[in-house]
This record gives sequence, C-alpha cells and structure tokens, in this order.
Amino acid sequence: MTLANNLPPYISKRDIVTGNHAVAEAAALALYTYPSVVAAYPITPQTEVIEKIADLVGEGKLPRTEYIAVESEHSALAAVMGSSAGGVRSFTATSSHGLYYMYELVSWAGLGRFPIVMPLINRAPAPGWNIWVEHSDLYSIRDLAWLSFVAKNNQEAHDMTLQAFRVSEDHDVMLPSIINLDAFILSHTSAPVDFLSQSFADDFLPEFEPIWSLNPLDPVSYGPLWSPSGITEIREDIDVGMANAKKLISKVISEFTEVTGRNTGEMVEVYGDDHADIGIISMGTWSEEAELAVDLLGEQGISAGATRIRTYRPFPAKEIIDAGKRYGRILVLDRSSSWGFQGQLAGEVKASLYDGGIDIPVKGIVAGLGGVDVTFNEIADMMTAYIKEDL
Amino acid sequence: MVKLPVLKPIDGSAGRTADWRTVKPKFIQDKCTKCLSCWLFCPDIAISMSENVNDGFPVFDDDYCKGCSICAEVCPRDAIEMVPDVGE
Repeated sequence: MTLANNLPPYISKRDIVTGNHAVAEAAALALYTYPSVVAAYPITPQTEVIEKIADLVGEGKLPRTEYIAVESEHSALAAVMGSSAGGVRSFTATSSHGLYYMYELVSWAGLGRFPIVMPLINRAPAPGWNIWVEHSDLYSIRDLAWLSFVAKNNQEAHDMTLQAFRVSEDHDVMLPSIINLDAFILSHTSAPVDFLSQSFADDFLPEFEPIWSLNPLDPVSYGPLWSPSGITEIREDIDVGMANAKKLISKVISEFTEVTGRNTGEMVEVYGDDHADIGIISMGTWSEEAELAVDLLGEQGISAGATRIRTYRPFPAKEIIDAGKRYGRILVLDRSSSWGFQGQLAGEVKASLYDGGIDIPVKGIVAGLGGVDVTFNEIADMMTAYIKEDL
Repeated sequence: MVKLPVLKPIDGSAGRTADWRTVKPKFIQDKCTKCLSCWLFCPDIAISMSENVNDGFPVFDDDYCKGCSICAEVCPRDAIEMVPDVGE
C-alpha cells in the first residue's frame, strides 16, 4: 500500500513496511549514486534486508552496486572489507549466529577502521535454538571499535541507516557501524515509514572518499605487523574517532532534523518529567513501551521519566550523568546479561554515574530474553515495585 | 587526521635485517643461466635482476638478505652457495 499525495521533496513515498524493508531502502539510497558493494549471507531474521537489496540490484535499480553472493558471513565481511579498502561504499547485514560466524573479521573491520555499515538484527544466541530478540549479539562486538546505533521503530531504523553511513565514513571517524533492530518486533513488523528521497540522500550523504585505497600504482598494506608501542597509538586514536563521532552525530542529526523535522534524539532520547522520582533507561523497541509506562505512572500521580539510549557506541556517558541528575532512582532494562556479572547496560550506567559523582539508587533488570514480550504494563509494574522498594 | 593501521612499503622499516644472518649467498656467475628462480623465490625481495645492471645477472642486497638460503635451494644450476657470515 502506498499513500502518496502532496509529499514534501525529502520524502519519496509513504508506505507500510517491515523494519528490514525500511533499512534496505535506506541502504539503497546510500548505495545508488556512487559505486558501491554489498556482500551478505541470509540469516533469519535479517534475510529480507539483503533480499530486498538483491531485488533492487536484479531489477537494475542499483546500477552502480556490485552484489556479491557469498557462501558465508565470514566471506561477507571479508568481501566488504576488500571493497571498502578498495575505496567504495560497502554494506552488509547479519544477525546473531551470522555475526558469530563472521566474528574473526569483526575486529579487523573495527580496529582496521573500515567504514562499513551493517544492520544487526538482534537475535538470541543458541542453545536453545531461538530466532527471537535478545541483545546478546549487540554486546558481543562491543569492544571491537564499531559504532552502535539502536533503533526504536521502523522509521528510525530507516533514518539511522543513512545517518550511519555519514558518521562512519567521516574522515575524523572512519569506524564501521552496526544498526541494531530488535528481531521480529522491528524486522518483521510492518509500520508506516516515510521513505527519504534520493535527492535528500544525495544532499545529506556525500560520496565516500577513502583516505587510503588499494591501488597497485601506490601500494599500501592494511593491518600488517605492528609494534607494541605503535598498537597503543592506533588504539588510542580509536577513542579519538569515537569522540569525534559523538560530536558529528550531533551535527548530523541537526542537519537531518532541519530538513525532515524528525528528531528522535542524538545520543539519547528523553521522555517524561524533567525531574522525576524514577527514571527508566533502556534501548530498542521496549523503550517505546517504557514511554507508555511513564504515562501510565503519570496518570497514577507518580512522577517518572524515560531515557532511551539511541547511540550505544560511542557511549552516552554524559547523557547518563544528566539522567542521574534528573531522576531520584534509576531502573535499567537489559535484554541480555553478562552471565556471572549483571546486565551489560546496567553495569555501564552505574559506571557512568560513578564517574559523574552521582550517588542514587540504580537497579538493573534482565528481562525479555529470547523474544519474551515485555509490555508497558509490566514495565510500569517494575517501576512501581522499585519505588515501593519491593523489587 | 585519523591514524589508520595502514603502511606504505619502504625499504628497511624493521632495520638492517642482514644483521640477523649467519650465512650469505656466494654467487658463481659461470653457472648462472639467468633463469630468475632466485629472484622469484626470494621472500625478502633482496635479489634484483635487470637487463641493464650487472649484465642481467642477479644482484644480492647485502642490507636485507637474511640468509634464508632459499635462493641456493631453488637454483637449478647450483650457482648460489651459502657461506658463513658471522658478524665481528
């Protein structure tokens, strides 16, 4: 179904599509104008992302895109590292075990600073065999120098994909991106999306200009043997790139908002009361449920707020400290756990608050594993129980 | 500008690697047929061959030949012999 009348020039069409479709169409905008390479291997629940792109290439709608059908995720990332090193925009997508299969190369892409964009449809690891949402795969590459963005709905997944190319490929950043989508809740659920137009995309996202590229006439070697002291230097520069990304994200979002009017936050999105007895911090789709829970608590006279992490790497430490100043106590939702310790996000929120000198009660809850649905009612119950010291 | 783990090839980024060797090639020109085997197999690009240099016979780089002896092994005419090269 397409609803199209009197659309502004930055929108090409208004349609009801899945998160996978929304991501693929945004990637197509980035891939269309200049030479580009896609290499990917299908895995539930990511398959429709690359099927859609394969369709567009097959139909001749991406005439400058080389689509490489590879035999595994390991090869998929290897192929796009090659194309990225060759100097062209590069894209792949995966999920859970697909990511684990490409894992050997994940460090090469991140620490090697190949600005590849890769939607990661967050799916639980096995066993037991499970194809539904969990954030374990998101955290599995946390420390390998990838930017990490987390979408809350299909529209944001669409917008975020284009924004990720812009941030990744910037010469002060040069880091790959994952765009996280909750399996099935976003990947396979249709919702209205305003598709950005090609003319908007071309204005917003310039041609990728590599700093180095593989060229026999001016040979370079990527990631060769490196001395211990030299390793420290290039690792330190990754943190510089991450800090630059943080500044750039702010600039990119304000440019994006200026044209589209859409702003779902930069590092975080804040919802609810400015100063609240309880705040909830989370990321992904259940952050929208958390907003409804905040409303529900508000109706009961409980002052509550929600902070959604939109950019997970670089981590919004400053924004979390700000949240600590807004809220009397904080509940952190984790859709995964660092087994033997605690939910990863809870640990990072606590670390940030400590760095900021904020001493308030913080509690982490691990829930929603393996696709368990967590609704706003349940989140409201958790928050109420925490206020009553009953959690 | 970011610091990427990318290197441009230059001679001797690891220093004068010939210091590592205990043997060095001794070239016996009479036996050489200029077949290029030594040039092809040298893992350190320490053998150069050019029509205009040394009458087209191989030239051994005394700074970067590590004395691995591959050239002597692959030479079909035994035109390369490894001889001791122990530093002072």
